[in-house]
Amino acid sequence: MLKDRTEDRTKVRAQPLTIYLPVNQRLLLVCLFLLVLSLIGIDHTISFAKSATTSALAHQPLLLHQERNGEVARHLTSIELALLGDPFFNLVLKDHADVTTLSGIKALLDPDKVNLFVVHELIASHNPASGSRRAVLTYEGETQNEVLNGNIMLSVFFDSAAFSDQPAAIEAWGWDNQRGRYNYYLLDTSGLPMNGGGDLNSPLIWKFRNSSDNADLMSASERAGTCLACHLNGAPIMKELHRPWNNWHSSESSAHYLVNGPDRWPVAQETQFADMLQQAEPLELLVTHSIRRFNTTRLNQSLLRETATDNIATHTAGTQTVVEGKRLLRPLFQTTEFNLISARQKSGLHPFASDPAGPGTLTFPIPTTFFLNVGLIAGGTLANYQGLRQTAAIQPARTFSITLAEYSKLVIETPVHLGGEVGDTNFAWFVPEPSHIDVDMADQLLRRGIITPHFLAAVLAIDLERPLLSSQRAELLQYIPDRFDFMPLPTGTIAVLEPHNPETDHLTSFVISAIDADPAPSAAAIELRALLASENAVTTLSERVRTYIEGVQARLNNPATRSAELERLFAQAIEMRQAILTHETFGNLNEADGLLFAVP
Amino acid sequence: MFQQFTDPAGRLFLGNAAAEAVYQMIMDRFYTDFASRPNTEFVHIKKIHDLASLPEAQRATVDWLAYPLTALATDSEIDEDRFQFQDEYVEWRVERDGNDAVSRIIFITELPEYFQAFARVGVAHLTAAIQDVIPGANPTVAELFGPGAPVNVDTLAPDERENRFRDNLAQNPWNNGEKGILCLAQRFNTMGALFNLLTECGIPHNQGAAENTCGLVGGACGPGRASDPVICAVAQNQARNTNVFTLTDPAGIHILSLEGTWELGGNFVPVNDPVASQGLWRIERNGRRAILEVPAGLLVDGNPITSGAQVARLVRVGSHLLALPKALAAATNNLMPVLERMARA
Repeated sequence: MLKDRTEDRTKVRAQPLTIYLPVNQRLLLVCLFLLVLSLIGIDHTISFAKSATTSALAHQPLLLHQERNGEVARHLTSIELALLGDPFFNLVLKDHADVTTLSGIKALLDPDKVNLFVVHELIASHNPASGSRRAVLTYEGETQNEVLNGNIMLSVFFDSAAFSDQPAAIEAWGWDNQRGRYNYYLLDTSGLPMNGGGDLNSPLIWKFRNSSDNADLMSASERAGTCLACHLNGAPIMKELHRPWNNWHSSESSAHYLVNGPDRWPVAQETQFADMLQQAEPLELLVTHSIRRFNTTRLNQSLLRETATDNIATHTAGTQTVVEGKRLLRPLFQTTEFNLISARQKSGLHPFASDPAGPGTLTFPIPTTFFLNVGLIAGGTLANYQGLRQTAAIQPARTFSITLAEYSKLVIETPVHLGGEVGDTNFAWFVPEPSHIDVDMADQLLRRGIITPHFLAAVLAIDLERPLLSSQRAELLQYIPDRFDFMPLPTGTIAVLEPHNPETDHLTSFVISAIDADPAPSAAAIELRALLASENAVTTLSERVRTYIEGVQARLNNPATRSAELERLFAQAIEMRQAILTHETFGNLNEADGLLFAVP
Repeated sequence: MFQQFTDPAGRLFLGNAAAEAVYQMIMDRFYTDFASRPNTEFVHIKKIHDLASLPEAQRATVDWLAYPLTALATDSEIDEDRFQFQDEYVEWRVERDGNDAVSRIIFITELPEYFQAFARVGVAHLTAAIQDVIPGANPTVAELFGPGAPVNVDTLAPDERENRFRDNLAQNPWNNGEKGILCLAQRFNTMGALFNLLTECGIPHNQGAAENTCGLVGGACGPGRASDPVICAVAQNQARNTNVFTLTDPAGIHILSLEGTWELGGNFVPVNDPVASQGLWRIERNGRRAILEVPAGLLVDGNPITSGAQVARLVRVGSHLLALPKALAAATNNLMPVLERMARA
């Protein structure tokens, strides 16, 4: 149900203080902006002006594009408008861009169910003064033949007092299944010419921000101020994708103040909030799938097409052709995004949590993905990777454990700080891990036959003990051809069970030749060449995994070396955290300065 | 007053008063034995069942996904070796058509005590209970009780018959997947394990976060699983909040919903709507059994169905608890004998 727009302008919007401009001054600003637009001949501005001054209009299309924060919004071109086809655009913004409330959006989407997930670096604090929390909203159902499940996501902030129906800003994305892209939108007060940065006195305006097209190709400077500064590949993000979902309200760490108990926030008493609130796990499934389908789209877009039909071209020999090899294989060699993992054990050292310390003798496992790229080496997991199925080699790594006392000693004696205090994140051993978007892309390449298990194993064997941010693997991307043929695998084939055929593994042959042609290959390149030319790189990888794990196991099990090994591993964890914080693009995902990672 | 335990499968014990009586005895023993453990806030259901309508009463559903987190194995291995891998209080059977394509997946959370009660009464009664689940089933004595069982197994003592049936569940083709699936048989998926978990985690520990109590209760809790730690956390939170709690009747694990985005023939399927989904996903036996029919072209999240483990990642199950402030429960229970006498008068 649309609301009267004048009423909306005077409605309190989740800020403790609201400064009102008299209606005529706000209208003057809007009209001046519209006058500028009208001078360059935008018909829609007339209806926009009318809607600004009159009560609710039945149809108000999305008009504006604001690529970067703080920029003055410009009108969308007809071509840009024609490319918007996600369900959020189709159901809301196409005709009702004047709707600025969550209830209004819900009415247009008409979902069977709305789910609300909560995340924040201070989630463990029940103190109402600890600030706002981010809510992610998802929708279930089908409306006007638009499937809502996994195709629309909104993000808003709320505080302890209330869950505002008209927050100061709404970030939204929609998945356009036909075009295979995510579209990002923003509702806030920014974008007007007099006040590009936005303030409370300006009306809330929806803007198209960015799409995922070619997001992976953008430089750090090109991303600055755009949605793609964080959505690095253009896909949805859930940094703490896997349990225990540090920073999320979840079954592993319930934000009781959002549910019940003596310290329950007033917002938790709102029926609508309580009905929507979910724990993090369903969101993990949703985001996992959202990323996977995006990768499938990107993969298919990287293959040679038949001109007449636009189908993927299959040659007489049955092969297909990759035409953007470096781009497609980049996630295998370089870390394009990161996820965050931790132990399931709470550290008891979080400066803002109130949990009592656990017993020092309590033992907990260090996350396995800290040591190895488990998804690709072993496969399986909740994300259902095929991988190389080397599960036996990985298994002992699951036993690498540390006691709470040992862990606390590392935290305190290093020392590491969180939020300016000596302490740790809510969950212990919180570290970057290989991202689902990268692991899944490599896994899809494997399943499709674009890379063979032999090739994958050879690459993974390089700098094995550094599952992400490996400069050794990163520089090897130079040897990947942009164009190469491959023999596609039938759907459902378990790649690692197929015999390796060097005759059809064109990529391996090409890379060997490329390294041979390099007058000064690096040590990593030489090592890769040897692995690629070997009989069975999968076996070699498995052996290297065993050797590595046995080494760590021996040092951990030996009382004489245990402390030193734990210190070495902890130093490695810190180094990984710092590498993220100082990275030119990954650092953008540090939304709460000083609260994401515990570092010295 | 709490009178008796209801049929967990919602089948009214098939009108079998003898089996029902046995089941009452079995369940009462579980509640009594575990609730009598020292220091636990887990109580017999009869202590607080009748107080469920009080405003202070809390109902909590603890839920998790059926996929076995501890299984470092492929989906096919998880499907084929149910008794090693499927340890989240959910087990399943995959049926395939002539082209080896998945045609149906049956998920179960039903605990064996129900069938044990019928076994105790007699083989014909047990057979009837099995046929109620698997119409047309014709189990032999050897299939139900093991190859060493006497032909006339009804001559055995009831508890021996019950034990033989239970001990043979993994070999019973009507349960182990060969011919069907009836009830949980993986060694960690037991009524006793569930009660033990709640009882041990219902002892206030006051060390560390409630969510990490799993690591403090020894073998009662599997810390790597999806199920145990969250069940433990809920129980521990109740205990720390000086609440008593119990498993609601009927005790056990319920199949709650199926996640993911489902399509058939390019059309969205609201899979949790029994009518709109046209029976593709059916939850039966009071949430103890769920069947996913897999017609050609059924996709989940854009992928065809290739294994039970694939779908298990999306099956949400849970257990229901009832909690009440300890002081209130104690005060009310002091009045119980008086109320009971008044009711009888």
